[in-house]
Amino acid sequence: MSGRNTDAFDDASVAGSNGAANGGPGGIGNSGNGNRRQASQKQVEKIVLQYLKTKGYRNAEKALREDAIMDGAETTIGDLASVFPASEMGSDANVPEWVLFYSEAEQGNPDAYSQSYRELRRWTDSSLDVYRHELYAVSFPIFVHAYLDLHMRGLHEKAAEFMEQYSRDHVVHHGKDIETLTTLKTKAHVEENALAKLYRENKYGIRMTRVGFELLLSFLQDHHFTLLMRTVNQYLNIRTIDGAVQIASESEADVGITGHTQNQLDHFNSQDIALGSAPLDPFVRDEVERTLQSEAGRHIKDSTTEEASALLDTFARAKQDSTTNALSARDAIPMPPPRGVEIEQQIANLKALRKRVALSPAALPSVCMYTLHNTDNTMNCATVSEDLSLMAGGFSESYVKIWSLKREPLRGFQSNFVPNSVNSEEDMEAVREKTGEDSRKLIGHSGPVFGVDISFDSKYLLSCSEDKTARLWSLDTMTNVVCYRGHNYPIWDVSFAPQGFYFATASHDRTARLWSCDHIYALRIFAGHLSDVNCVRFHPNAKYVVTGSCDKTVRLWDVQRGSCVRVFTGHTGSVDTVAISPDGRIMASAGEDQTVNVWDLGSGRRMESLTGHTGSVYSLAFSQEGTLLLSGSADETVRAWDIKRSSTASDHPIIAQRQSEQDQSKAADPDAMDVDSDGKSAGNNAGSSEKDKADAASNGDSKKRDAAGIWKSKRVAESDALLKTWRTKSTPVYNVTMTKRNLAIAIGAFTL
Amino acid sequence: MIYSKATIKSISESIGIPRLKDGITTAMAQDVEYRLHEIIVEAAKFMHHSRRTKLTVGDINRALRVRNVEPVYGFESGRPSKFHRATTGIDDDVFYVDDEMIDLDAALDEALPSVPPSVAYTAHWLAIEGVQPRIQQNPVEAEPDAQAGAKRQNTGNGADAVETILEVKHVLSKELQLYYECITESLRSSDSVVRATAVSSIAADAGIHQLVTYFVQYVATTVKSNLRNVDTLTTALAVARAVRTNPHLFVEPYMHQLIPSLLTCVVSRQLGEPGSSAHWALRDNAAEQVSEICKQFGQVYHTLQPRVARTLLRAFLDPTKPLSTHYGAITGLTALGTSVVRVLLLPNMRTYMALLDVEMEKQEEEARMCQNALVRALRKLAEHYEDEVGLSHMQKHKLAEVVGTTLAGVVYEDPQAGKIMGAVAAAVAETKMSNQE
Repeated sequence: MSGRNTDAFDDASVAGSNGAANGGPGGIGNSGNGNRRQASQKQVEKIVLQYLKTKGYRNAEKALREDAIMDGAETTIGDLASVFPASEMGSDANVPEWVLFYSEAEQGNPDAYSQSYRELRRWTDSSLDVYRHELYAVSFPIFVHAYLDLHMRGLHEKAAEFMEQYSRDHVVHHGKDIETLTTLKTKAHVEENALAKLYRENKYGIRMTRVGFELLLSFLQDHHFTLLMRTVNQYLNIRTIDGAVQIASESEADVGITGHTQNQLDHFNSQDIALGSAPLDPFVRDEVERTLQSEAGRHIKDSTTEEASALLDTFARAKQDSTTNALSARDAIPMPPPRGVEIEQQIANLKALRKRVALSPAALPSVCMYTLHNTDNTMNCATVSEDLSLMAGGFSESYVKIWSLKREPLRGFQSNFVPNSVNSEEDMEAVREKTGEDSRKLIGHSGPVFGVDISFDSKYLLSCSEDKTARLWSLDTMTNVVCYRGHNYPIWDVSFAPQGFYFATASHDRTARLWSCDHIYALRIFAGHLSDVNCVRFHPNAKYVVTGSCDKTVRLWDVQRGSCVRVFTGHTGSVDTVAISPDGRIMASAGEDQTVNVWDLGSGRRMESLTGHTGSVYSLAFSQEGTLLLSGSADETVRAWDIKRSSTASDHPIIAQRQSEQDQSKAADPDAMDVDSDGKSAGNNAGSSEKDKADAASNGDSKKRDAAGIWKSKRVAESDALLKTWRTKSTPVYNVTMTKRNLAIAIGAFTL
Repeated sequence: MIYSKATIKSISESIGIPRLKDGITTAMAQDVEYRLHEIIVEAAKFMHHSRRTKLTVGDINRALRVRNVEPVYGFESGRPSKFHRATTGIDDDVFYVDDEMIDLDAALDEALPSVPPSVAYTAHWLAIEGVQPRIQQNPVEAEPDAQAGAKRQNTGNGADAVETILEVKHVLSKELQLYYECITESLRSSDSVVRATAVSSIAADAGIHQLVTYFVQYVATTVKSNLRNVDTLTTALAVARAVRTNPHLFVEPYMHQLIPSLLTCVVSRQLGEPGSSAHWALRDNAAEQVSEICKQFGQVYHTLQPRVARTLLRAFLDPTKPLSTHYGAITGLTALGTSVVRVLLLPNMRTYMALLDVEMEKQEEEARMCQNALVRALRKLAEHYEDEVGLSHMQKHKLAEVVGTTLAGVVYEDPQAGKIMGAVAAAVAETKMSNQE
């Protein structure tokens, strides 16, 4: 957003917590030190006075009042206490005082929350369309804190009533949170529940237009809703945007809890990041060139030499490309010296590049589907190697199973072989097992395996498990090589760096960690997520990792510094999968909320929000050009999405996108009407269903969940960017991958 | 509240705390509910990471372990638990898991259950260049349903006449549309030169890939609605051939749509006007095309040829079918190659000739065509047979044993009689050998 950040309430909260030390009450001048002390003295008196008044100690109050007048203050406290000039409330500095003194009037009234919240909702419903979305967004944290406040004050029945009465306003966007909050029954629960703590200890980010914000303030002041005002002050971090921008949906205004103020988020997202490709090791480069040249220069002309010279051409072009685009060697992360595999890899890449199928919205890829049978719901994850020679799956029964996709026998080494006696290729062959099947179990974990990944050269496999370990397996020997301990809770995901050697894990302990294969301890701990880290992927240049979390955010971490450099907010459910385009500029994330969000890594902005899936999205993959995105989901489909087109939109991609969406859905989308009627049948009152309609018309996101807060809506509005849906036969798609030649691979387990 | 106070009370009594105060039970009930929810939220994470949508006892146990609580043992099972309802009469109904009593002695005596099949994978194309092939592994497109549903909706509230957008947008350029119209028009023309030009255009044009499905559709509908018009059918067959032979087109995904139409032209009861004899050539043509397809795609789709052969054989062996159908079936089987003739036709020839001898008197022409077709089949059998056998009555008698007297007579007159007899004898011997094995 181009707007100026006022962050009024950040300052306000500081003022509030320091008492009134740095700001005099409305009518009192406060220049100079002495004056300030005097003023703070008065503050204290006022508080005491207020207390006495509510407790009914009239005599004491009177005495104090007289005392104060004798002091010769400019303004009597009584006057101050009875009439606070509303007009002066506009200035932010006054807010804390006002909140401090006038909340007391509402304090004793258990219905105050309910009444004022109802008024707020009614006022929001009747407000102008332009501001309605942001006002709805701001009403959610107010609602939550009102509910929690009621519990904290021991009014548990009132709280339950309050929840029952108003929760339906928010189930569409915050179904999960509401579900959890509803179960809180006592003060003790509020104090120890993780979610409640999250709301209490962090500020809830909201993005508003300046006018919308002012409207809200003046509404709260005019009606003396001090309780709400206090909530806004204490628990919200409102960020105003100037200029002629419009917030067209609730989710756009809703930044949510990130553990940072929006100023900090801005700071994060404006850090410089280098998204260029990793530089090619000069040794590897020369070696590749030499190999190709020697092959091209052979005397006998045949197809291989021709191919080699063509490859040389491609290599020269690719090299030039990368020199303009690559990171400087200083920026790149250190890598061990090349082992020869890299050269083969480079040549294979070049060949693949020449054979790559050009994909575009008009030319969709071929998808090869691997269906696993007899898994009996025990398979948790699956992956294929880059050269499509191996497929691996992680199972609940603590093992990893690998299959040779070429149906060749997988032969490990004999158990009695002596490494010292192996000197040549022949020796290697001699110590290999004589026979083998085309599939093999790797046994070693002591809990369900939640993630597997195969290195780029298909020589190593990583797996991670509930048993808090990640394990490295050699696919030559078919044995466990290293066991990495460090996480204290189950590990959800593991991912190799594109060039191998490094890998990252994501865990239930709310951290992601960076490891290198040759160290048994983590090199970096990426801490900052407020809930489980569900998935982790490396940026193509291995300088960054991207993590998706249950806290509904996606973060980008700098590997070298170990710090967070981008925070992406906008999901309404936990993020289960992320993917980065091969050119390293775009990132896509998806998860429980059935929406695929596409982000521009450079600016940290959302480019597109793609809806259409009717189940959790399990996996994402970009085509090599980055123009197509494939997604695999629990709804038993693979879908292809068109990516590039919104990047042509103006400098406000979000707004432009939103507006175009709005226009389209205004053309009476039948689906929108459907979902709407669902909402009504689930017991929405007229007011809120009207609100739903407004939401549904402008925002695809809101159609995702039905009123019960469960993601099961049958018909979801499909984004225009959806190019194609391929259904499977009752096979949820666990993984989609794109090979270097732009062949799509999908893996799923057939479930009954 | 999930747990009533009564439940808490009865549980407390069962563990030896006789009288709980009311306040305590309420607090307990609330707390239990909250704790349960916490555990379930945690367990849902495990469920989600196991890529499941059903919560299992295992998930709950893992969630408990994460929270450092002893898991509940004894409830984990591969199958989902079945709950039964018991009516108590006083309070609400009670649900319980039905635990089967197992007699240990009997269980130990029983044979071990078979090992469950190990996890295996199969591969198939979910999409080929973006198009989902209609193969067994892919679900049937639900599009027609969706369309029907949309239509019903439309008629339901006609007032707002919602325009339904098809799930798949098929963009056909204007040029292609014009081309298709022009071609189909030409195919309908009475001038054979125009028709031939249209067909050759289909056979050679490189840029009409998007129209393949339309042409296949065209063949199918034409065949279906023009069974009496031999000329139109011939054109349709020509189109089918053109589409197949065009080197720029990728017809593999559409073969399953093409084959039924062709088979119709082979074995249909009545093709052309009754009495006309033009349909024999048509059947030959279609049979040839079917065999070509089988040759071309037999490698990839192993079941293709057996399926076609089975269809034809069924037509051949059904005595209720008219002779024209039999003719088509014989021709079709012959076109599939010598081994098909040897295995499927030859053993049935004698029985069939008995039937044909009877028919010979009623409908001479048809019967003779069938007989000729059988002779052709025998010639096909002898095609690659080198050794000739000397003609003798002995040999003729032998042949008659296999193919019937009438046919043996005909063959005896044939210029290649020696070769055929040798081939038949060899084929019979081979069949016997394989039967013995």
